[in-house]
Amino acid sequence: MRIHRDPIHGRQYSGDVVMWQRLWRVAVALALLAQFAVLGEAPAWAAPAMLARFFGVPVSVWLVVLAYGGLVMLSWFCLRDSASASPRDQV
Amino acid sequence: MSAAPILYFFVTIAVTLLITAWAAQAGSSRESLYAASSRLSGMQNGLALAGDTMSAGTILGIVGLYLVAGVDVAYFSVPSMAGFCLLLIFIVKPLRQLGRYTLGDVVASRFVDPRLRIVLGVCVVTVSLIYLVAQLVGAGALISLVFGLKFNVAVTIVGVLMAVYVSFGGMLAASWVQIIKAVLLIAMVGLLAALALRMSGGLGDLYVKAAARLAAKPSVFAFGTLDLSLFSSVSLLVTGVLGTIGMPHVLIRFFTVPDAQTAKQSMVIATTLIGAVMIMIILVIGPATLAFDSDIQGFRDSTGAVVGGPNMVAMHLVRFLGGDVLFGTMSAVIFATILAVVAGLTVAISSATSHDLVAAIRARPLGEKAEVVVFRVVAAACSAVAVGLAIVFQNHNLSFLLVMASSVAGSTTFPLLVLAIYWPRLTAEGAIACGVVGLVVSVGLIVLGPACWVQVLGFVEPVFPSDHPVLVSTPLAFAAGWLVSRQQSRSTMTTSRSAV
Repeated sequence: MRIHRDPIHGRQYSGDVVMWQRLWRVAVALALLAQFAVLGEAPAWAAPAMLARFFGVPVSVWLVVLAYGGLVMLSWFCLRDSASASPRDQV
Repeated sequence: MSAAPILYFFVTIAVTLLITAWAAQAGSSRESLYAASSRLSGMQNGLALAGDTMSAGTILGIVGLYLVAGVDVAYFSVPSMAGFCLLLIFIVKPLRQLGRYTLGDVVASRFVDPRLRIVLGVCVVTVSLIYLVAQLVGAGALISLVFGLKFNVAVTIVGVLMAVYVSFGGMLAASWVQIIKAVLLIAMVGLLAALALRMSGGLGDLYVKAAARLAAKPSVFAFGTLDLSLFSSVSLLVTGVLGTIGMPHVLIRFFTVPDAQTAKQSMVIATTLIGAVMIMIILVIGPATLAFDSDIQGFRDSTGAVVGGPNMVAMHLVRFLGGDVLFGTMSAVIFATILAVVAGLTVAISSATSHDLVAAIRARPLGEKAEVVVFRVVAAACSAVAVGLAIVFQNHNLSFLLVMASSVAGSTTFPLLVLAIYWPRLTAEGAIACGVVGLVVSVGLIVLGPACWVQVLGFVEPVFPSDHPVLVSTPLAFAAGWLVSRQQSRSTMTTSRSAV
């Protein structure tokens, strides 16, 4: 099994962990894209539509806000993520 | 013109000069001038990074554009955030581990060829100088409007101040000016959003009021107001993402922290701060300009145009919500924003010239003292050149320059860094080909595009149909790097076999 080493903390991650981390990021990105894809016709269960009903803010504005929120969350996930180590750090 | 903006104008100059004096006293070594001695914390560098991204043009431009384009401003603002995330995932850590002062150090960690340092140095200087002139032209117009100064005087003041900051304080002074400005800007945007919500009676009421004003017009709260074609929207998004990743003045910020993990922390802090500011603008401040449109005195002239142009929309709103005192404070923050961004760009140009270009042309590195002298001379010369160009082009529509800077960054520094970090088979010649092709193609296509060929040069039809060439120039740069490296590897293998 391929082992990835975080040179800062000295932790070691298996290839499976790295793969799940990457899949998680892709899932978050796809969720964001899906939010954009539905645009103004979000189904009632979608977060922007619920927020729009609750606060009286248009769905499209919430979509942009959620895009920003999602990207900020994504950056926090990446902070402690071994997969962002350069190829030279991988053992 | 009230006294408040003038007073704050001089206070801003005094505070920033004090910071420069402190930075000059703290150290005038090469480490201090290029990289603030790599001693900034994650929070400090995060604030400085956020400040670099949130220029006066960005903040005022997005609020002004909201009045016309509504939520379509996302096309201009979201891609740079996405670029920051990609930067964090793929570039920040290896960049910090491989580089010390400049981007040239990153590629020099793999190749000792001085020609490569020259190519990368030329790319960095080109991108930063284009961006600097565009910022100065915008800054001159803005300062003329806010403080009532003539354009030439305003640009000269900014040029002299940026030369002083960078020559004496280097990256340390530029960083602290940027940090203070970022804190003030975030506080001002927060205060403005709170005042808008208080005056309208809440978030829902703000949108009810805005919707009532928009009753007779097509709604700006739906995507598609800008009516961009599929090619234009994809090009715009890709330019925003790749341009952010390749901007030299942003990338060299990662050399101001002690290690790669702190660099990543600073990136996450910057992303969070930028996200918070953009959410406040898109959720509250943008709609507030629509809701209070007819309440603001002196907002529109007899033809219905915004007085002072679209960039002044936010300033009109500030005066309406907070009176002259808040208007003066915001003017000072905008002035500090302009100074901080142009100082950061000047550091990028000066360091690339003294550390990469001069050393590579001489074929041996300069001594530390000589390099510091060259850095200071280049900072002063670059300020003079940028001011001269800004004065010459003051009456032209230079929006294409901002696009050109992003496009050239996305077509040169971005592919070069990606290949140098991630492709083991890259050769020095391949890297040179990548940089040269990216630079020539991106600049050439922008000159041949509608914004320059038709609007500036006066031709009837553009030769290249789009203002955003990265969809063509970036793949070509990658292809040139790959092709030349592959050819060279093959010829090297053939030579080795013949020798055996």
